[in-house]
Amino acid sequence: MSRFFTKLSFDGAVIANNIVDKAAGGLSVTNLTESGKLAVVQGNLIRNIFFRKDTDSRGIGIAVQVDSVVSGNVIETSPGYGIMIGCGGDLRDVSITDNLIRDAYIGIGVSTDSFARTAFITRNTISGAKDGAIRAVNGSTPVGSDLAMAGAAAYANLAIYSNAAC
Amino acid sequence: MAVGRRELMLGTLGMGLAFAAGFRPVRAQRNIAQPFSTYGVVPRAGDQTAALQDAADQAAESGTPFFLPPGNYMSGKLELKSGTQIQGVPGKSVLCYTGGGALISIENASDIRLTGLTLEGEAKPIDSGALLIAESVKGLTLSDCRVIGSAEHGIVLHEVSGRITDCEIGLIGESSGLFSQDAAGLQSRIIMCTTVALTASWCAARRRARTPPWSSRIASSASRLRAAAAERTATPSTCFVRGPY
Repeated sequence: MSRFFTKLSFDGAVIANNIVDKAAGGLSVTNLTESGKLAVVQGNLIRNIFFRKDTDSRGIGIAVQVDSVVSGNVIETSPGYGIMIGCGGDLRDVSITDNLIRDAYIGIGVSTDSFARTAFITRNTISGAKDGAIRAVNGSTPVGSDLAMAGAAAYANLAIYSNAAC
Repeated sequence: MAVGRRELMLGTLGMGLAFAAGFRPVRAQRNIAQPFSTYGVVPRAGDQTAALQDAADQAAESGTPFFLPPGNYMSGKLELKSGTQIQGVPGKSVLCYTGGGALISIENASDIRLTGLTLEGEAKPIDSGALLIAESVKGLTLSDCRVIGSAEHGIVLHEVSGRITDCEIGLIGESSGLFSQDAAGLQSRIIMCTTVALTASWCAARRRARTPPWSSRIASSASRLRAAAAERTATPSTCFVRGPY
């Protein structure tokens, strides 16, 4: 049964139909640009995310970085971001569609590092976000105005439209 | 007195009932004592790490799935090899963490399939940072599993490909005041804390910066939770898997 495993690459994962309840973080898919590859995060129910004061948790429902589709998830009550896209320059080919995010501090945060690449954010419903539905994030601080309202014309790597924010 | 057909029938019926009544407990006992099991593992009192590990190894070698009969199994760290398949009854086959760093650890392996298992952390400190920890695994299938009561993360996957589907993940280990233990409606939905991390490289620099990765920081919250659990259950050493899910 022995096989040779010197260096495995992350060849793709499907994370579907799970329930995560009362957690300091929901799902975190942290592929990096050089090693990570392909993830589908679909149909998960994530609720009651909270901050843990004794850790560096950021109260995020779903965190993704590269080569991922995040679709059809429900995220309810998140004290940080509902969905966080990218981590500095680690952002490439991410599609965020048809998610419902309710009662997050910020609905969706997307990295706008100069090395960050394409993110497609569309048809999400974001309700009750306290500090903007979709915000650009520089490091860990949100910058600029709400992209759900203003659009993403200022950022060449982002396509953001048809999101409902209220 | 001649014995009529009716009396005979009733008598036979009565005898039959007595027979059944007399033998039923024996039969029930036998069922409890010998549940279906593929590698001779049945729930017993005390730590079963060695027996579970042995069965898992045999399953990896033979390819026949290891069926874990319903019940609670006290266990430390199980290390799974390529080709291991473990199948439990969802919500009924419960591995209870007793210590040793993790419940299930998979490293440099392929084709692992875990279905219907419940991993119960009992809020005990976990050195490795998660109840299920997998590193460099190709083809991990995790379905219909419940991962609950971890003092740290539920599942940490590092360079893992596969599917995590239909699982319920919720954990204990909260340190802030959110835990309202006796609130009506909350009690049945256990589940308190923590992170499910699916990582290829968890922001590599950040990860390297903190070694050991997740330990020690939760000690205080874990002990507080253990105290809460002890209050809640008369027998805190047994698994406290609660439903409904």
